[in-house]
Amino acid sequence: MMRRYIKLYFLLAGAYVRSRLQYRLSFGLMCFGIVVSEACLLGLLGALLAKFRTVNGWTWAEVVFLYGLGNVAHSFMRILGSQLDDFDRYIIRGELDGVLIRPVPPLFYLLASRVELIHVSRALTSVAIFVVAFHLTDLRWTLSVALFTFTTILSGGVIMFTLMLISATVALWTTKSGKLTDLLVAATKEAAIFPISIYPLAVRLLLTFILPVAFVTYYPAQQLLQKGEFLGMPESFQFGAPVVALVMVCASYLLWCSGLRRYHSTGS
Amino acid sequence: MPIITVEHLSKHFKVYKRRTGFWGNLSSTFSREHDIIKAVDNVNFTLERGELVGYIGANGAGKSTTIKMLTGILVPTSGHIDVMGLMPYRHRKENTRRIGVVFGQRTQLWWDLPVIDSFELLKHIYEIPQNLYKQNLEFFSELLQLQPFLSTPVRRLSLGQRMRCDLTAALLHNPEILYLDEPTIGLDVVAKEQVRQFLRQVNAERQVTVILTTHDLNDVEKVCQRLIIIDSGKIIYNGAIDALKKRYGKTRLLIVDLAQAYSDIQLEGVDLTRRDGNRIWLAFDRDTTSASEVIAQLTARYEIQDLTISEPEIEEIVRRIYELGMH
Amino acid sequence: MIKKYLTFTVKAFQRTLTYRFELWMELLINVLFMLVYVYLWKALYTGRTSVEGYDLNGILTYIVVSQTLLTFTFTLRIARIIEEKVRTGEVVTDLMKPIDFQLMTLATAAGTSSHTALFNMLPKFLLFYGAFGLSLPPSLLTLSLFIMSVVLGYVILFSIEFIIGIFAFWLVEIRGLYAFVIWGLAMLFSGYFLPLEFYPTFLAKVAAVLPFRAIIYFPTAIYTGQFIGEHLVTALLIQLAWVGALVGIGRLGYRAAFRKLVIQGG
Repeated sequence: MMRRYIKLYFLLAGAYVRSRLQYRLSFGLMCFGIVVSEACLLGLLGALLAKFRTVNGWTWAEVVFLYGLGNVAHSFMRILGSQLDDFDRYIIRGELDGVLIRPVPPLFYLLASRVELIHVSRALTSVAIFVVAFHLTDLRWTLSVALFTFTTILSGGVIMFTLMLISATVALWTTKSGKLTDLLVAATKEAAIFPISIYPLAVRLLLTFILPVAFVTYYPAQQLLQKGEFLGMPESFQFGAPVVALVMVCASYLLWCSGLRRYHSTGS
Repeated sequence: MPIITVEHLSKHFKVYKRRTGFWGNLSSTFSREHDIIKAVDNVNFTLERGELVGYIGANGAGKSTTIKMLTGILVPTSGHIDVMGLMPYRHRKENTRRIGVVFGQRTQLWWDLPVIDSFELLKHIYEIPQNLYKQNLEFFSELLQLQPFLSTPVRRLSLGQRMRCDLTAALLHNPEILYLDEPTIGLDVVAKEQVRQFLRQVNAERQVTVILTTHDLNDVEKVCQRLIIIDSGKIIYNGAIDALKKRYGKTRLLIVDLAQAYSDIQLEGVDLTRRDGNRIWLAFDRDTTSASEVIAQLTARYEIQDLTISEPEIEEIVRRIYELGMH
Repeated sequence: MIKKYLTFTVKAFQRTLTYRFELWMELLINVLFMLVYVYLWKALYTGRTSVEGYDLNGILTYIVVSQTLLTFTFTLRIARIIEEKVRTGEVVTDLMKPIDFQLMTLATAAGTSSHTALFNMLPKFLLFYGAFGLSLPPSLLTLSLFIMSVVLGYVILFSIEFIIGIFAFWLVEIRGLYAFVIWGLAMLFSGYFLPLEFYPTFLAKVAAVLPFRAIIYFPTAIYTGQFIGEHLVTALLIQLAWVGALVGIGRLGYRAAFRKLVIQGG
C-alpha cells in the first residue's frame, strides 16, 4: 500500500517534471531568477546588518542563522507544496473534477502531480546560506545538534506546508484565493527570519499561536544558540516544533476535508 | 437488476446575486444575497446493464450536474443514487475504479507529454495488470487508429485525435460504465462519426453501459437506444428514440429572411414560432405539409431574400413536448 | 477616443470588486508584511538618532510608503495575463480590434490598480500613518509631485511587465523571465526593502542604470523630502525618459508580435 503510493508519487511528479522540461529556457531562467532574488535579499540584509551590527542583541551571524533556518524549511515546503501555489486556478478551470474521478486520495493526487523542480534551486541556495550561518555562529556539528537541527527543519517545513495548505484550502470556499497563499506564507516567513523579540506582544502571540512560524525559527534557535530569550513564554517551547507540526497537520487536514466536502456539494 | 438507479434526485445551488452599477458593485464588496437554483429537481430513472442511453437537454438544463452526481463528484441535495450497489459519493474510490469518465471540453491526459505516457500513468493509477493493459491498449489503438500519434505530445493533437485518446484513457481499466459529458462538442463531422461508431462498438462488444450527455440530437439518433430529456432540472421524456421522433419530431423548421418586416404573416398549416426583425421561424408538420408547399405559399405572398430548412433542434423538441403534453 | 479606453478601466475596476474575500485577506497579509519591516527598523534604530540622513520617523515613513507602493508590483499581473491570452489565442481577437493593444492593456490594468489603490493601499497607509505617527509630504506641491511620480513609476512598471508579456509570443512560457525580472531585479533595485542610500556602492551603481529605482525609490524619496529642487526635477525627468523608452520598446515588441501572427498565423 505504502509502496504503491510512493511509486505513484514519483511517477506523477516525474510526469510533471518532464512536462516542465519541455520549456527549458523558461525553466533555466526561473531557477536563475530564484537564485538571484534569494542572493539579492541576502545581500540587502547583509548591507543592512553591516550598517547596524546588531538587532535587539542578535549579531548579524545569528540573524542570518534564523534567515537560513526559515528559508530552508520554506523552500522544502515549496517543493512539496508546489500545487498549492495557485490552487484557485485549478478549481476555476474545473480540474478538481478530473482528480475526483481517480481512485486515489485527492490531496495525494494533487500534491504528487505538481512538483516544481525550480524550487530545488531555492532549497539549495537556502541550505548553503544556512550552512555558512551555522559556522559563523560558532556552532559545531555534534550528533545531538545535528539531530535537533534536522528535526527542527523537518517540523519547520511541515508547519510552513500546513499554513500553505490551509490558505489554499480557503479557495474551496472563495474560489479565488489568488496569490493569497503565496503571500501569506511569504509574509509569515519574512516575519520569522527576524528575532521575534522586535515585535510587540500581539504580533508575537500571532506568530506563536495562530501562524506558528516562531516554532520554525525563533524558539528552536533558543536551544541551538543558547540565547535564553523566551519573552515570557515557557522554555519548553524550544522543543515545541514537532508538537506544533503535528497539531497543524491535524488541523489543516480537517480543514481540507471539510473544504472538499464543500466542493462536493457546490461543485465550484 | 438495474446497474444505475436514481430516485428522487435533486441538487440545489446557491447563486449569489451581482448588483449592477457602481454603487451596487461597491456594496456587494461588503454583503451578498443569493438565490436557490434547482439544477436537478426530483429526477428518477434506471439503467440496465449494457444499455446505451442519451441524456440530453439544452445548456444549463442539468445534464452535467446529474453526471457529476453519478460519478461521485457532487453530493445530491436529496434523493438516492445506486450505481452497481454503491453510493458514488460515499464509496468514491471504489466507484471510480469501475467507471470511466470523459469530459468533452477538458482532456484528462497530460498536456505536454506523449499520449502513451498518459496511458502508462493511468495504468499505475488504476493498478491495471500489465497483460490486461497491453491487451486493451492494442485493442483500442487498432480500433481508433492511435498508432500514428502515440508518441506525440497531447497538446499537438487535433481535437478529434485527442478525443480518441481520451476515450481510450477512460476505458483502459475495463470500466463497467462509461460516462461521457458532451463527447462530440467541437468535433468535425468525420470525427463525430468516428466517436459514435466507436461507442456503438464498445457497447456491443464489451458490454459497457454508456450514458452520454449531448445537445446534438444527431449523436442520440445515431448511437442511443433510449433517450432521457431533461429540462430545467426535470425529466420531461424517458423512452425510445423512435417514439419521440414519431410524436414530436415530425416538425421541420423553415428559417426565412424576408425583404421587409411584414406586420401580419398568414400561412396555412404553418406555425410562426419566432421572429427577429426580418427573420422568421416557421414550423410545420412534415407528414401533412411539404416544404415546397410552404415555400410556394411564402413566395406567392411575400418577398423573400433567403431561407433554410432545418431538422428540429433539441430546444424545438423540448418546446413541442411542452406544447403537446407528455403523453 | 479616451472614453473607449476608459470603459476598459471601469470594467476591470468592477470585475475586481467581485472578489471581496480576497480583498480583505490581501490587506491583512500586507499589513503583517509591513509590520515586520516597521518593527525591524524600530529595533535597528534603538540608541541611534540618524543614519544616512534618515531619522527614525523618516525611515519609517520611507518604509511604509515604499511598501505601500510595492503593492502595485504584487498585484499587477499584466505579463501573466498576456501570456494566458497568447496561450488561449484570445490575443488574436484583441489585436484585430481597431484599438491600440498597449493602451487597452494599460487601461485595463489601471482599472484593477485603482481598485487596489483605493481599497488596499490607501487604508493600509492610513492605518500605519495613524499608528506610527508618520510624516506627510512637506508641502502640497510635494504631494502633487509625489502623485505624479507614482503615476510615472506605475507606467514604468506596467511597461516592463508588458514587454515581458510580449515575449510570450516567442517563448510560450514566460514564468521564468517574469520571476527573474520582477522577483529578482525589480525587488532588489526598486528600493522597497531599504532606501538606495543604504546600498553598498556597487549595488547602488547598478541600480542607477536600471529603470527599477524609478518605480518605488523615486516617488518615495520625493514624499519623504529626500529629493528637493534640482534633484527632484531630475528624478521626474529620468522617470519620463524611462516611460518614453519602455513604452516605445513595448510598442515595437507588439508590432513585431503582430507581424509574426499575421505571417505565421500564430
